[in-house]
Amino acid sequence: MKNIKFIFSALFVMSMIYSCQDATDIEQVGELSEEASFQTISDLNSGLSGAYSFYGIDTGGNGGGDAIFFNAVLTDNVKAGISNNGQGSTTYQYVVDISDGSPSDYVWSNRYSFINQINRVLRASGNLSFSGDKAVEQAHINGQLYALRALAHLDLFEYFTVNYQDPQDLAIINVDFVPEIDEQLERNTVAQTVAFIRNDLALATQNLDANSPTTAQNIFVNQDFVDFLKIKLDLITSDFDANTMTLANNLMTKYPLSSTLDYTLMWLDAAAGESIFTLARGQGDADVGDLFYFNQVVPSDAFIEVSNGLYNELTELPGDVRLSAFVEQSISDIVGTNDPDNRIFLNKYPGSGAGPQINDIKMARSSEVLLMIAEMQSRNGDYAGAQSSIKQLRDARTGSNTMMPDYNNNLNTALTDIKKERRRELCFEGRRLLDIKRFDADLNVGLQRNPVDCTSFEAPCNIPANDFRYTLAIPQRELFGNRTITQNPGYPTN
Amino acid sequence: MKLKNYALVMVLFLLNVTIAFAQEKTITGTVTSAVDGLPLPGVNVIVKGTSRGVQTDFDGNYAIKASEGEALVFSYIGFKTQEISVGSESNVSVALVQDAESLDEVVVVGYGKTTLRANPSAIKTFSGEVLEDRVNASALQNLQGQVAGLNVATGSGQPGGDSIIVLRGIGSINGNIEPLFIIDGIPVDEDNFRSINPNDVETYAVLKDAAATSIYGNRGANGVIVITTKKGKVGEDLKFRYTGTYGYNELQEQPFELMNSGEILRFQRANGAGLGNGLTDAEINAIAAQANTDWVDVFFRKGTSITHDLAMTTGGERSSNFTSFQYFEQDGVFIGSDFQRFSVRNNFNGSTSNEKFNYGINLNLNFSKTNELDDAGSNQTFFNPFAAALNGLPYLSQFDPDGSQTIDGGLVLGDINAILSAGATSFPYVLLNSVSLNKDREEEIKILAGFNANWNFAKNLTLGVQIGADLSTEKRLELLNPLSLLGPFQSENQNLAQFGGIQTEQYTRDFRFNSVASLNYNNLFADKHAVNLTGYIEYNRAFLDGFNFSQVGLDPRVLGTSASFIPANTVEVIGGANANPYIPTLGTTKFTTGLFSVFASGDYEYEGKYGIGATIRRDNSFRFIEDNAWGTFWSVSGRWNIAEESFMDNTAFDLLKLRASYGTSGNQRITGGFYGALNNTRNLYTTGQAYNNGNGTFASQIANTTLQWEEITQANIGVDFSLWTGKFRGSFDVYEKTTDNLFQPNQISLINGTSSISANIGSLVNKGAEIDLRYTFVNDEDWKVEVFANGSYNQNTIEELPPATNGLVVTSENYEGTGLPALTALGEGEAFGSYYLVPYEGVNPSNGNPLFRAADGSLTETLNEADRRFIGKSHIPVWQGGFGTILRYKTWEFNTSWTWVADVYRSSQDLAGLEETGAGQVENGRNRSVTILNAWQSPGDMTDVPRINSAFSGTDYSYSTDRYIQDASFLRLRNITLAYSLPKSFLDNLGVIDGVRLYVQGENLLTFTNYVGWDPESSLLRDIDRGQYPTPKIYTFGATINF
Repeated sequence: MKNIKFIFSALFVMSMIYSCQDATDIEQVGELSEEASFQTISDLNSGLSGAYSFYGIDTGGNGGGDAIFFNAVLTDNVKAGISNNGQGSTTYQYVVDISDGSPSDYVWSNRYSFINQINRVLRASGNLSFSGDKAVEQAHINGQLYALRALAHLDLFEYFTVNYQDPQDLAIINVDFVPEIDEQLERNTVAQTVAFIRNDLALATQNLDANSPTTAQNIFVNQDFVDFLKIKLDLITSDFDANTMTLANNLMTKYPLSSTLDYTLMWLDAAAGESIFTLARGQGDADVGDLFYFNQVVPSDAFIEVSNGLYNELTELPGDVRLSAFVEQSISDIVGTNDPDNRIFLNKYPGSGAGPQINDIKMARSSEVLLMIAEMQSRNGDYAGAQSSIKQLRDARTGSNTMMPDYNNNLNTALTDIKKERRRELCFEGRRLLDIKRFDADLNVGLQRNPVDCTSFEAPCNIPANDFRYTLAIPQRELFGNRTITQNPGYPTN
Repeated sequence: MKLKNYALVMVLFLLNVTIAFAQEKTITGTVTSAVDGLPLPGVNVIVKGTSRGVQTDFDGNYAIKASEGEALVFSYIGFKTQEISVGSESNVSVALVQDAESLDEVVVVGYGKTTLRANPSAIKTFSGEVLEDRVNASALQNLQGQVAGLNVATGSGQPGGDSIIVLRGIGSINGNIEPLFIIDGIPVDEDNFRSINPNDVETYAVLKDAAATSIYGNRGANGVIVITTKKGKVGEDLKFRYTGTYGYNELQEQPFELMNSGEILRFQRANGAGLGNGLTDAEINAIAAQANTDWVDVFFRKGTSITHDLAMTTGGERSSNFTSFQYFEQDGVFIGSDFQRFSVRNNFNGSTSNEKFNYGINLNLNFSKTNELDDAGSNQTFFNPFAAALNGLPYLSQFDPDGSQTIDGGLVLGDINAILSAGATSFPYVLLNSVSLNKDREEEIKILAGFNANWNFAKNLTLGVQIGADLSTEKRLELLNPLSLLGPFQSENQNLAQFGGIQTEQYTRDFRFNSVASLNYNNLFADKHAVNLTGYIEYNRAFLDGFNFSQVGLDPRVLGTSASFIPANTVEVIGGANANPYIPTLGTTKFTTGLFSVFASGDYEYEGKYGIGATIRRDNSFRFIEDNAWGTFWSVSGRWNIAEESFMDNTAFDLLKLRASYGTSGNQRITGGFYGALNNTRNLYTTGQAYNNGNGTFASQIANTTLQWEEITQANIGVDFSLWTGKFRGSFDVYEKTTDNLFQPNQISLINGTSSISANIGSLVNKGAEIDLRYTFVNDEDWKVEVFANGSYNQNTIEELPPATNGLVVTSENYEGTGLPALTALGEGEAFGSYYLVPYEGVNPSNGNPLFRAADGSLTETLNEADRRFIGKSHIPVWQGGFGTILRYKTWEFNTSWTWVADVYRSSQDLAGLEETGAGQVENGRNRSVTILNAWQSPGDMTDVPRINSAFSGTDYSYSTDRYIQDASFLRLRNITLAYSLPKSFLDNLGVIDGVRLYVQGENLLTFTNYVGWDPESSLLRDIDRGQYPTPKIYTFGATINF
């Protein structure tokens, strides 16, 4: 009995002595706190790398997506693809709702996540101080973050502001801090947001290091991209002047238009070409091709194809390199002009060495700078200048001497031609919806789809000028979490 | 009249033998079983109202001192307790009558033990014998229909498939909803019961109300199921029980009416698309004569199942032992799926000679291997084999040109065009090929080990220790053969890479440790006041670690080991650029959980008539911090054994007990998983692949420092009764169970980088009633006729959702990237799982377009998401139950067991796919149901099928409208058994063999339902059925030999 007593007591005591803390104060292996996350320059760089990767203009797939996708589907650049069984049809039918997965939700949630990441890294950076080269490096990181924050706010501003030029109109929430979870903010005004973006661009300029090794690579933000954003902001807010023009001309000097060969190679990610800033996309990143294809371009299982309307415009100029660069020639099947059986496969994102559907995203190119120059020239009444700018672009794209356009000293004619050239040049890059919206102020034409395209989805062919849906909605998820915010006109408020 | 509970408890619990004195004589006798006349060793014989007692010896003999006028009480587990008054005689021999549900049978209910008579809480216990030798791989599947209020839903016919178990309704929206499972005191993982041998189970106890579950604190919210395995008996000779079964299984009858080759080709011709388009009748007939494949027949088969089960029991004077071995194998009814298990169990119990110290060891080793089919329920054409079986076109031949069964349909490896052409018509070949060439295998080793001891170290005081461990290791292998049709497309570079195929392996080890120390005080004062108090300390830790890899690019010549892996640094020129197509992905995980608790329970009983109980538990979960680190849970309960009152003396009631309980319990698994919500109270960052394939650092979690458990408050009132010495018995319960502090996403502004953070807000309630009845018409040597039934009603209502939601949470199912809402939504005042859809109102006779009911009540031909509404139907059943019959004539037995559920609905996407009439879908590579021949054709047609090429697809209907919401109520003959035991007289001649029982049984032989889908029985959590694995019919022949 004695030994039982002993053994039992030992067991009993053993089962009592596990300390409470042992079972309750448990940290999981690999937990990373904020303090531990950012301590060195290399940590900040890792945070910056994280920030770059948040920007999701090319995300989506299978019938939903961010700007590249919905700028195509909400406009006249696409029709239903050969393998479509409903992908994108609701959006194409112009049901622009506020639900999860809608264009509005994509942009709003992505850009604010992007901003949140930027602000977290900036906050961490603010708590660290370095000296010498490291201080320069830190400033360069901060500079890129400011520029990216400006980019995010500018995107939001473009999609969610009804009138860029009315200083009192509601714009977006300007966020330069890491919010508390219960924060519910109203949108800032256009004047505030524009000032906010300008301030970030100025901060970027102050901090960016021209000698940093990343400056020479177009996959990182440098001063040239900051200038690009500034020109764009000046233009859309109609706040451009001689300085703006100088910035633009400097960019044109530094980044001459690509030859037709380089242009083709650029879209295969085999040459930098005229790109000022390109988002690098590698293995494991979002597949931009998934926005239009289930699996691949050739042989095609496209659920979205190039519209007859766009195809017709791409064939207008003889020898236009954009036709071959953007439309897969070998398998597209053109039965006849505007024939409903035409199969027109997009080839702007044919894939690269990183994978069949993966391509870098060209964010800023000198061709767009030139188009902005032409627009500023037109708006300044310099029609001759505008005409020759457009000719310059067309010459480069065809590799030949094209006819000088004639704008008749008419702003409307000039803008119509510039808008058309923007469509050809910038299709499937997330610009078309914004162009339709912005040029409506002058042209008042709205969305006009080729009838054979819109019937492919049994969708409306025309959406009137200045339709409220050209400006996106504050998404439902924001309304749920933010009782203070004001919805854009025309959309449900909860 | 009745035995004093307390005395029995005392005897069994403390095994106290007290010497009695004064005017006594010694009474001797033999106790035998009334059924077979064999002596019963180990029967408790006590003098009523005293603590004097003995046990019978090996030969059933006993000797006890008692006075005339006193009464002897004979009790033995599994037999009816008998009471005999002591008269002048000195020899009292009794034959005990078998009784599966004796009122005073002591059953283990978690931390303690109780009897039906003394128990103040809602607990249903039943013997494992009832379910013995059923051929389901998982013990839990057998529980279906056995317990009122317990829903066991197995959404897969995969042998060993996991079941979702829900007791008294869904108690959480995002947290765990399944009960806690305890086997021999060891808390175990609820999800891998396939490795446990069901025949080892002695009793199941289902703990339902707060009085029973509150003592489990933060783990008891959804009820507790306590399983006790078999033991040997003290003083028992070595006995063997061998059971062998052989059987086969097959697909249940299907409700679909598929088109044959001629019909589908004519359908295609009539609608101008597909192979049939433009063919003459003669050409169609020629094709139909060549091939009319029933793909269901190709993919489904008759499978076999085999069991060998050997159990050995033995007992010495101070110890007993139970050992079992089992081998079980079962083929799935779908080709390529099967299950194998080998298990060993040893339960040893021992005690000191004075029986003040007892200990036991339970050791259980299991190995199981499952070949399964991935992606049941997937909407990916090339990955759901069940969809291929249903939707494959009949004019595709299942044979190669040489007449043998094809496994590739002549498709050429790497030819994507052939695979994708004509709406991916060839997909049945791709699936058939995958099933034939690819592997998806899980191997599991599960070890349950437990040690328990108690020491009655002083009068009325007992110390207890219980230590247990549950180790599950699982290895999963998925091998996609590079030579299979899908093989060439596995690299990121698709078929441009030279090598295809993918091998994924995953290994996890889940170790859960538990120890409980207790001190019990037990006493009876003045023969009237019984007191039982226990204090406990419990410690729980669990560790999950695992690693995995996935290698793309395999050399088909040396498949199986890493010899086949194409090195990661291999460079290939793809699309003009250098690429590394074969970079593997690697992963490793490690998670830890812990719980430290102190708790106590107390029971007081007065004269065996009135009892009150209380429990209190303090749980410190690692998940919560600061003020919420410790949670307190409590319960109070009371009972009134009305039948013990003198005014009930001459009534038919053996038992009439009114009981009531009220109390709280918690659900610390707020995100559902055992290893979920491990650090939600902390702000965290993570690293991962970021820009330009570099490493990035991101915020991964925003802290919720006020996090706590979900809290369940439950009130229960119940009656247990037994009449005419157990002829009619049953129970009735009503309850209300409220879950507060539901863990739900609370919407926040997207400027936080996320739209929601989960917090404890909101509540839901389950109200219900349960009834359980059993009536024995006759039970004697020749005949036994018994019927039983149970049923339950549970009304689930969500009371409060996060304030930001305005009482409606519509989640996105995001079907095919459409951003469409899920079929169901959460709404205040609605039941969990309520469908939120647009009503479908039939076909417009003038143009054949479908009509929907708009939010304003008008009819419309447009499908607007804004027209969704709650349609008052849910996929969680409101009514459910089971019933059955037991019939015995001499040694023949005939038993049936039925289960049913009612008021339950699901969307049948399988039917929607077969009735596809959407625009451009005629040539979608899928067969059709003949029902679409009724499609609208010309104005004035009255039909329920819209015109071919109308605007909406089957997916639109099944995901956005209620067109395919069907009543999934069913009544199923779950089990039917016919058995014959060789008569004793015959066996006596054989000598060594004590018993032979031969039986045939069938599972799921009959199903009555209106549901049009593979199987009306589905996972409880499934709102839509799309290509799922249906549960099979199983026929078995078995023999049990006792020797």
